[in-house]
Amino acid sequence: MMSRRISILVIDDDKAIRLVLKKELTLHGFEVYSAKNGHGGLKLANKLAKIGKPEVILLDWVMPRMDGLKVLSELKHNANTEHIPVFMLTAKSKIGDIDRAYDLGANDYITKPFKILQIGNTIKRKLKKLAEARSKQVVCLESS
Amino acid sequence: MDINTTEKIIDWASAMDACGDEDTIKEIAKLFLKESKQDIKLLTKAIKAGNSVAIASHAHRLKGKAMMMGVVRLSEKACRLECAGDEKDIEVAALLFDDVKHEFEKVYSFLSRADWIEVSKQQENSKEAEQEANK
Repeated sequence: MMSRRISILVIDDDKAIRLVLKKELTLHGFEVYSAKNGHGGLKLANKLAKIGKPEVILLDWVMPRMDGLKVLSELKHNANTEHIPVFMLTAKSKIGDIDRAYDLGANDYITKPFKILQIGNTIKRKLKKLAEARSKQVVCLESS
Repeated sequence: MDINTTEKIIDWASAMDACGDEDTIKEIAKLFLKESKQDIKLLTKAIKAGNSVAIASHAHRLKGKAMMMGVVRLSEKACRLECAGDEKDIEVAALLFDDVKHEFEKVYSFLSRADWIEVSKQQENSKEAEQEANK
């Protein structure tokens, strides 16, 4: 049985990161879209949202002009995109700041540098965890 | 070529971790050669202008590119420069930038060699052999 392709939007100003992520995640069966800056990412996320995509956004934190937190905030304040899980891509040195991203609605994070061959499974695992947490929430709401 | 006298520029294992395979490393190296000179130019401009935000931003980009290539020393030096930019310490940033430039030139010249992949792989193999011998 063929598994369904998960659509993912990568927003990162680093061309090398976009390139390796696209290559590896495509091999892992993801449908990969990418944007090289925050503005482009927001535009693409909005456009894709109209056709029910992407199912997850990988968002770089440090980008020129519009940083990841600003992009995150706009995504979460837009009715079209607020439901899309966002995983922040962040350097280890920024881990102390991760609460700021959670406060703005980030769902999880992945630290850079990451091992590219593990990234597909990492994302799938995080999405599974998120789906389980959301379904538990629904059960709790229904029973209360 | 004597790999024992060639300074280790690339940590091949880290580059493989970041890129996944040799073909992708080659592709990223081409990008590095093409784009990182521009980062150095922009950093030079930012240092001259005393623009700490631009220093942090361009140093961050250079750090990321170096990290992808397993160019550990350059990545660490660019990281320190990024911190100086974040802390708005232009004086320290200017000093660190000299270091970054020097390291960058070494990396650039190494990646311009025809045998850089071979050398990096051999250095990785001798590191592994050394670790094995020390067990």
